[in-house]
Amino acid sequence: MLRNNILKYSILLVILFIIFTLPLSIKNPYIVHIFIMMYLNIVLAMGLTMIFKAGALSFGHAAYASIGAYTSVLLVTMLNIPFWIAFLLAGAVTALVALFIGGITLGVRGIYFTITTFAFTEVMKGIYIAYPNPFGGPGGIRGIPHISGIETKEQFYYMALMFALISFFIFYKMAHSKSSFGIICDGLKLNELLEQSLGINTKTVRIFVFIVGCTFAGFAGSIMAHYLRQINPETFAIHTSIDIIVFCAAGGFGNIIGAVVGATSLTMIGELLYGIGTYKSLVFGAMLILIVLFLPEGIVGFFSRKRILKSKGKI
Amino acid sequence: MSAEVFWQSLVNGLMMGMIYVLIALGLTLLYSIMHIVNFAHGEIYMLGGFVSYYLVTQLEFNYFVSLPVTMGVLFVAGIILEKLFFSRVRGNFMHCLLLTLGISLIFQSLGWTFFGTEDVSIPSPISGVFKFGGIFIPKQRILSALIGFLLVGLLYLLIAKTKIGRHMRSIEQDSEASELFGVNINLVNMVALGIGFALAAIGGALIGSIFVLNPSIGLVPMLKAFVIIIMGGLGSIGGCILAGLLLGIIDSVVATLLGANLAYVVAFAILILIIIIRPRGFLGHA
Repeated sequence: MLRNNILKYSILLVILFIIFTLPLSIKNPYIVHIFIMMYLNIVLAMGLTMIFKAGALSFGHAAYASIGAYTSVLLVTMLNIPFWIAFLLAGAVTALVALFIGGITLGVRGIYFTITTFAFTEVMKGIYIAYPNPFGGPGGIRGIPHISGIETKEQFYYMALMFALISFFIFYKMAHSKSSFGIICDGLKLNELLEQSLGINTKTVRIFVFIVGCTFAGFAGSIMAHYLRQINPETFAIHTSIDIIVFCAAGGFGNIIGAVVGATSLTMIGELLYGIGTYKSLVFGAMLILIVLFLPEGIVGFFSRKRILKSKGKI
Repeated sequence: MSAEVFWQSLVNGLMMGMIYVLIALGLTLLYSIMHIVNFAHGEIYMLGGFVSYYLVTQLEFNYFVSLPVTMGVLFVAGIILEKLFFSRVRGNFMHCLLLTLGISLIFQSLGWTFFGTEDVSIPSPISGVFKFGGIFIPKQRILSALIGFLLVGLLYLLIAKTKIGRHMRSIEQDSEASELFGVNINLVNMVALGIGFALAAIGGALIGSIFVLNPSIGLVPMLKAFVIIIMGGLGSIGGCILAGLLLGIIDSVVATLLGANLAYVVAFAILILIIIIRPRGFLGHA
């Protein structure tokens, strides 16, 4: 047991060392760029995983990222508000929208939530296109100013890394199966009625988790917009929502570590496939089908089940 | 908006609504019988359009012959997909969702590869417009709406009067009990998926002769079909028709007034209202 723990922490330390020194050793801006996108994707995937853990599958996670992105960009460009305040306000606006959508649809059982969130992405896109003022229409907003103090790619790398680490810490604590909140979340899927009978307001818990997941998507969207320095209605469209779902499914749905593993590996694979046209969606689609049929718990779920079986002496 | 423009967009909306009804009926059939939310429905619609396009332009089929052939092709495709994939994840809502999402991604990607990126259109068999008062109605649209109407009637007869339709209804109510009474669930599921796919496919074939086809056309009609099945009440054919025609009209009138991008926003607002006020939809069961 102790040896296991030492191994675990040393692996963790090595990974932390590598990611903290990466921009110092690798000067290739493209690789640094991939890592920045990867950290933001990890946050998006963790948010969706958390929402799923609370028993709701959102098909519109990218819409909330777009709300965060547009809010903070508009605040910075039109009202000259400092980035960090705009960043927090972006999260607040995203949370309010999530409260509205989640409050209405999460109370009704069935497929309403999934379908509404799916449609919501396209609705936001329609609004951005229909109102060139202030959203910039189909071309979006270009020439978004740098965040003061964070101008080089390396500085951005550390900002995205810190953001991902903080989010990971929060989501991990929330989802951890030993914390009381994690137990409540697990119970939502197992037996909601029983939880209600224990005096837990399951609807509130579900809406709260949805808001937290969406707020972090809003934060991630805000950072991504200021990093890419341009945003248009296609930056966060349905294909982005689907990408995030594939990340989560690959790593193992409902598992925070799985979200990290899935987003990390598939961001890399996605970037490798980027040059060859539309094959990314072919590979992602095939992967989704294979995972559903043969690896329904995802990569991480598969390994952790194997480990449990091993510890019981069954393999 | 003058009265003529209003009536014109109303009629246009009704015709489009009829095609939405076809797509939405397939979706609601799959949901109520197999509990599948088919995210690949838009791609099936797209494939239907392209199958019909190639039948007419490459193999020189008559347009009217190409329609049933298209339906047959996608019916068989549905049966194959059911055998290969859907039968393995039956009963798991989440896995069904992910599976149909994967299928949709693959079909779309293959669509870009094989059908190319250029817009194509199925040559219309009849041309000309009817002039009725101040309203102009292309004959092709009238034909499409009539075909849609006919198919809805046939589907109603199939579900209400035939043995397989009775089995479908019994599975919708209680699949385990109907299995005990000797209903062949595998067969009914296969037929239901085939019919759902065939209805989406003919929607695509009808649209392809009015508008253009490209591999990404499936998304918007599918989203509208989702809105329709919730508005009308899940599993209700009558509600589906009502909501489909209504959405077609709203779409067309709002698009004339405010622009096409906002038509979708208005439809979504109605969807939210329905979920708040009457979650079971117009004609759904409680």
